[in-house]
Parts: sequence; C-alpha cells; structure tokens
Amino acid sequence: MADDFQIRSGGDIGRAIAAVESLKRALNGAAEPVSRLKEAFAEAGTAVQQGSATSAAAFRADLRRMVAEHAISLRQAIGFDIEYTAQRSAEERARLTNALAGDAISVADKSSAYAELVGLSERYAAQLAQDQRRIAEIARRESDRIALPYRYAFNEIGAGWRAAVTGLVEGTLSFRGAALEVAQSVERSFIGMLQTTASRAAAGPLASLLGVAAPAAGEGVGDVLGNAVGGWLFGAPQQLGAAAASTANTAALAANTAALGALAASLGASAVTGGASALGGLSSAASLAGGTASVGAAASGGGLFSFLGGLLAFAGGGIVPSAAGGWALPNFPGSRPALLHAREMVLPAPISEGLQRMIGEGGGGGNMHLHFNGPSDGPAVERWFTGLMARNPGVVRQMLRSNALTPRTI
Amino acid sequence: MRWLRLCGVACVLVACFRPGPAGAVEPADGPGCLGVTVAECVGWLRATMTLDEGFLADAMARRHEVDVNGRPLGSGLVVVNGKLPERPGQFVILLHLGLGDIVKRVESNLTTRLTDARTEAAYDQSGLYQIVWRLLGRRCAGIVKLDLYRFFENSVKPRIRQEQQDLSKGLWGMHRLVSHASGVPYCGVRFGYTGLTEWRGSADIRSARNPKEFSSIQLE
Repeated sequence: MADDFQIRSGGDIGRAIAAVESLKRALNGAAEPVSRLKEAFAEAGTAVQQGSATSAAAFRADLRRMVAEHAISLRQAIGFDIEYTAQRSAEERARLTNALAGDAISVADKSSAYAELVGLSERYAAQLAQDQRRIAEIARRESDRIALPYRYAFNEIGAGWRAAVTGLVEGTLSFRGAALEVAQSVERSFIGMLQTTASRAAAGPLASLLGVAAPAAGEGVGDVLGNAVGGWLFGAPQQLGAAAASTANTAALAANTAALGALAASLGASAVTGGASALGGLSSAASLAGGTASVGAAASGGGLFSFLGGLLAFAGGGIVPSAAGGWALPNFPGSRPALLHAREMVLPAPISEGLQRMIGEGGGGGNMHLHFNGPSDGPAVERWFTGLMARNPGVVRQMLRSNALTPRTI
Repeated sequence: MRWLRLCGVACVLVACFRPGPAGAVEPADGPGCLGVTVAECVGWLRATMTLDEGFLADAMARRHEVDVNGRPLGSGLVVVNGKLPERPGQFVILLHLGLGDIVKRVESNLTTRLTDARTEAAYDQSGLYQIVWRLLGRRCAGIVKLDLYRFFENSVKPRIRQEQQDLSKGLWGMHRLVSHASGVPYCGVRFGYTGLTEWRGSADIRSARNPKEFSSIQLE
C-alpha cells in the first residue's frame, strides 16, 4: 500500500510541477505584452502632449499669418491664443482627471498621471502669465501711440511760447509779433490734433468700406489705406518671395526718389497752417497716411502718385539702399534696415520731422532761436496756454478777425 | 487747555479706530478638508491660499456630471489648482468626494521629493507643512512644523517601499522608481506618501540624466 501511495503521490507532484511550469511559461509569455502595454500607456501621454504641441504650433502660425495680413490685431491674436490654450488645457485636464479618478490603475500610473496634471497646470499658468504680460505691453504701446500726436502738439505750443518769450526778452520780437508767433503755434497744433482725431474717427468706417480689418487703436486713415493697398498689391507677406521682394525694393527706390523730387519741389510752397482747398484736404489725409510732414508736403506739392508709390514701396518690407539721394520714409510699423555712406547721419523721427517742417516753413528763419528752460510737457504747457489765453482774449479776437481761426480751419 | 483736550480726544479716536495688525490664519481657524463638504473645504482653501477660480468653477460644475444613462462620470473627483502665499510653485489638490459631497480623501503634490530630505530647510522647500496644516485644519489645531517633519522622518520614511519598473529597454528605455507608503496614522487621519522618478536610458538610476521627479501626499 505504501509503495502504491508513493507512486501515486509522485505522479501527483509531477503533474503539479508540470502545471506550475506551464503557469510560469504562461506568465513569462504574458510579461512581454504587459510590459508593452505599460510602455504604451507611458508613451500615450507623451504622444498626446506632442500632438497638442503640434496643434498649438499650427494654430499660432495661423494667428501670426492673420496678424501679418492685418486680418486681426495683435491684441486679438493674443486673446484667441489665451482662449485656445485654456481649451486645450481643459481637454488635457479632463483626460488626466479621468485617469486619476479611476481605481483600476496602479499607484505608479496614477502618480504619473498626477505628475502630468501638475506639469500641465504649471505650463498653463506660465503661458497665461506670458500672454497677459504681452497684452499689457500692447496696451501700453497703444496708449503711447494714441497720446503721442497730442503730446507733440502741446510740445509745439510750448516751443512757440518759448520762442515768443525769448524774442520779447531779447528784443527781436514786438508784442504783436510775439502774440502772432504764439497764435500760429497754437493754430498749427490744434489743426494737427484735429486732423489726427478726424483721421482716427474716419479709419473705422473706411476700413469697413474697403472690406479690410478694423484698425487698431491709434491707427488712422493712412494705416487703413496702407494696409488695404499693400494687401491688394502684395497679398500675404508669406506669399512674397525673395524675387518679389527684390523687385519691390527696386520699385521702392524709383518711387521714393520720385516722391523726394516732388517733396523738394513742393517744400517751399507748402502751407503748413492748412488751407481749405481740396488739395489741402488731400494733403491733410496724405500727411496722416504718411504720418510725417514730409510726405504730406510731397502730396500737397502734386506728387500724390509719387507719395503713394513711396508709401507702398516699403509696405512689404525692404532695405533703404542708402541716403545718397536723400531719403524720408513714410510712417509704417516696425523698422527697416538702411545703408549709410561716410559723413551721413540718421536723425530720430521728431528731429527729422522738425527739420523738414522748418525747411517747409521757409528754412531757417531768425525766429527759430529757442532756449529751453523749465518743464515743457504737454499738461504744463496746456495749463500755461489756457491761463494765458484767458488773460489775453484780445489775441483770440484778433485771430478770429483775421480769419486765422475759423471753424473751417479747425 | 482746550487744545490739549482736543488732542487727547483725537488720540483716543485714532487708537480706537486704527485697524490692528491682521492676525495670520492658523490651523484652528478652519475646518480643513477631510470629513467636511467640498464647499467648506474649498472655502477654507480659498481663505488661506490663492486658487485658480476659472478651473475650480469648471471642476465643481463637473463633479456631478452623469452620462446619458445617468451614471456618474466625474467619479467624485474635484481638482483644485492653487498657489501658496510667497511660493512660486503650483499645487494641485485632488479632493475625492463621497456621499453628500463629503471629502473622504485628499491628495496634494509637493514641490520637491521627500525621500532625500533630511533638514528642516529641505522639508520647508517641499511645502509639506504648508499643505498639511491647510488640509487638516482644526482637526490638528496644535500642529507644529518640526513635529510633522519628525513624524515623516521617523514614521513615514521607514515604511516607504521602493519599486523599480523598467517599462522598456535599450538606449531610450523608460524606467520608473516608485516610493510609496500609506496608512500611517497622524492626527486622526491616515497619512500616505508617493514619490515617482521617471527617466530614460540605462536602468540604473545613478546614470539617469534629467530624471522627472514628482511627489505627493495622501490624507484620508
């Protein structure tokens, strides 16, 4: 019996060992698919992130193109970017939250999903902070851009006052001459401010009329026209190849030379105080389009097509070849590279504009001898001027009598 | 004499109406997050740290979301993003809800791994104390920072078990080291810790370059 038992027992053990071996083989066989599954799980998150990054890059490239085509403003683009980032973040959060809420996954996988969720939150917070910084920066620039012409106008009034007072003190101006000097500077500044305001007010309706994007804050008729015609002529900046850019540069050279010729011819004759003639009105619009006195003067001198050529020549970009023949660029966003010859110099825009205006007014008159003392900012000058006008109503009466200040001129 | 009286009255008025120094919020001032409703928990967290309200509103709205068959989708998980005062890192707090919107389990990430921490400064850097007292509230009113660190060092660390997972092999192989301890009693709750290190390359963590590290605590 004992032998039988031993034999039977041995047989049972053998079968059990075989079963265990078979189980081991099965487990070993299953280890590889399980390992692959785990790896796939780990890779899935990375793949989702990469896919998300690719979509985001494509979306941002679209936004950049639209901004370049002036279809949307930079501020709108950043707003869309914030919205898109929030949407993508919410989708990824939902995926990770579902993974975290499940009880089936292991501690390691759960921890990995949790780490991803924290990383996502940090990335989102950083992106949001960056976008908000950019929006604040754009708002500041727009605010400066809106305020600049008005600040400049009041600075001009201040300069006129200083010239008048200096002339009086030095005895080069009579009281009447000084009053006239002041009145002229006030008139010029007010007309400039009114032109700027009117141009900005008209920019929106003009944009909708031309079917282009609404102008950004501080943009005037000139910006809208420039954007529209630039878009019609050149299309999207990305479509403008290197050859086309080279051709545009050549055209720019010719057009700007023509514009400068017209400017030189018209400098002596241009009336800065502004007239009521149709050409004067055109000049005003053109000077707003260009944003500089020189371009406006070129237009008023009859070189409208030259002016447009000069304005549009650099709409798609380009290099100012050199200043050998004299160059005055129109107003445009951003900057352009330029080549300089020996003994040439580049002037900052305000000095350049002032110089051109001085030449336009007759060139180097004796009454431009200015001494700057004390604060000369817009508000200070405005207060000074308001008080002075209140104390000298006769000057205003004189201006009204001599038709220097009429509803048409302002 | 009249001026003297007037000055005296003015001084008294100023002393009476001058706002006193704002007292710092303490653990005893709030309910914490465990065993209270999610609304109470979120209100307490809002009072002690800066929460991302945009995400929070969405998470709160989705916590009772159901599918077309009426089955719950959210599994009772509310994710709260927040920042501690004067700390740059993001904290993501997971509130696991039970019946009646009661928070039954809370998890929070830490900004550094605790397995290598030894000093008070290293523990401070992780945000452990700042998070734990907020999550426990008056349940652990007398919580002391050093005591918490000693609890972790002497009670939690010895229970941490480490497991390495080699998810793939080769030069670009993916590896994980999971450090986990759970169910350690502290202030009437069960304390858990999970650390995760992920890296690519050789299976030996000592040769890992730029490993991704993450750690979190669990209270239930």
